[in-house]
Amino acid sequence: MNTMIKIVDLHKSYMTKKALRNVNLEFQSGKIYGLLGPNGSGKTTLMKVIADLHQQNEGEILICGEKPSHKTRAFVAFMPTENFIYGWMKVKEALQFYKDMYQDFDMERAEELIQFMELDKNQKVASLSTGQKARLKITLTICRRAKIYMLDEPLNGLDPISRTKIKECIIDQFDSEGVMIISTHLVNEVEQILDEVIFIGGGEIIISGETETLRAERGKGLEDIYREVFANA
Amino acid sequence: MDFSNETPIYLQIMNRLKSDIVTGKIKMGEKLMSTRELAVSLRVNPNTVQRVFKELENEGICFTKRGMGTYVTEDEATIALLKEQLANDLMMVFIDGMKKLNYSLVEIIEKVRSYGEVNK
Amino acid sequence: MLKLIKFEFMRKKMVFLIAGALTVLGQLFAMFQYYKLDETVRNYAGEEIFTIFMSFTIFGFGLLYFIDLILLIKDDLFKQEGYMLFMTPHNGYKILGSKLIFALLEGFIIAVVYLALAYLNVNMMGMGPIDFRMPEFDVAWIELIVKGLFLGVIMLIEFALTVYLSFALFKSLFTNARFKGLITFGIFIVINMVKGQIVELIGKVFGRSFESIHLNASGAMLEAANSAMTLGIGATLVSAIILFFATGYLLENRINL
Repeated sequence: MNTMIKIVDLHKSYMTKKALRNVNLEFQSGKIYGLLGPNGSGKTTLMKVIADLHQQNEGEILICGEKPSHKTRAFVAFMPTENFIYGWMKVKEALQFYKDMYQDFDMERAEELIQFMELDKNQKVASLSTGQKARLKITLTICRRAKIYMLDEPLNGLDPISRTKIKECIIDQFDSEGVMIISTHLVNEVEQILDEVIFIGGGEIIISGETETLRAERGKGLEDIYREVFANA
Repeated sequence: MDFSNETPIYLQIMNRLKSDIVTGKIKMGEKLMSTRELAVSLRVNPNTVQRVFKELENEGICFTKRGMGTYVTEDEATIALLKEQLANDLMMVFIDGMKKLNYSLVEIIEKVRSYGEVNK
Repeated sequence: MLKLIKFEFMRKKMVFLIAGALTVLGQLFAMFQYYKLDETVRNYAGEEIFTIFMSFTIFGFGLLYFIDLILLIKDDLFKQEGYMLFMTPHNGYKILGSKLIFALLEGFIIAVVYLALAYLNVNMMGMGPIDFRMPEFDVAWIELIVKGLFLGVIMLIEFALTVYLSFALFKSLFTNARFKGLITFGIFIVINMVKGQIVELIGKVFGRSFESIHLNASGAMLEAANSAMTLGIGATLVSAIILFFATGYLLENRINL
């Protein structure tokens, strides 16, 4: 196991609002991490700082030994929670965009996954339903052969079938060399997938540790632990 | 497969596989699904499945052929022993529960017999 | 880099299609109106009609191009679905540079279409090839015209870069603040004030004012105009380069998308 991401004393604030405070974390290869917390807890900000879309105010992030930059973006596959795919694109144009822009994109696998996800390659992105957009997003992200995958709220607002398909896709893609970070507040959907969990609230890390250890220590499932942790938040 | 919160997930999967082996749903000497396949079909972490296979191997219920996959043992004695164990585990839970309800062992046996006659 | 430019073309293909269709329709409409006119009027006022039509066209094309230049980066920074481009492993300078190259190509295409349109209409109206020759046609004039065109292009790009820098500064300093448009416009004004100050300062150092030279450019002396053009080109180029690197730096290192 190698340390893939190391975060030391990270602070991030926007004009008046503190988004992240004193975050210290390490992510090891071969593990799936859950970043759990309510909306506005700092999950997205943390992911965007790692993805080099936002800049921290203080502290250091090292991704495989490098500071976040356009270079690290080459091996970090980030899936934002927003619909980040241009609406004017057709599904096949979005695939081509990824192939053009990312050297690690596996077009063959993407073609397969498009079938599995039941997407029409000639359909325009703007005309896809929420569930279809989410499936396209995950397909594009996961078909990169990246070292680090970060999925921001991959299951939010989706129908059960889309959720299942996306979960199966995440599990199938995961390999022991890489790191997978999934942010969500739909805890029981991902409980069986996570090696480690990080509870984040108000921009601070509240608890982090192995899923199984936490469950054993507290004698409860993650969902109940989540309720307990964020009862006051 | 639904998982409960009380026991670790890998133990729940192990028990499920064990009972499938004992009941013959999975045959002796049969090749099990790969880590990835089983993980996808159960929608659990591949690391959890890997742990399941490792533990099953330690218990002698499965063995791995290099580069081929994981197979169920062909040793009948091992499986007979496994069946015995699973039965004992169930029995233990059952008797513990009955004792908490203040049944004596004799009463329990009597209860089982009459229950069996009613629910043939 | 080629992939980035390809992407910009892909993105604009619908816009190009619509613009092309509108141009054809506009041309057909103008032709229809023209042939409805009495023949004597046509012969008498042909040249005027041609001039009016082509001025309208160049104004329309110019305006569309200008809007397009600003939109070129606005959607990437401000739209929710925009930052797909900034997630790619290309640095900010490269992305910005590709956009500028695309803008130049787009400008070139528009110019070619415009000239083709002019040529077509001139022939159709039976005026023969346009006689571009001026009475005092000489090398200095050509130089001036070429320089003027070049200055026009880089001024447009310099202006676009000022707008881009305003966008980038807003996204770096204010990120999620409200009144996006207002604040960005404020930043734009401030950048222009700073630019004005710098020009004035340089003017003081060299003992002459750029503004007076610009005024002289339209004046009589051809030679003075020529050297003023050269100065103008130099100054705009320097400004554009500084703006390019400032914007690129922000895109690469400071921006919150």
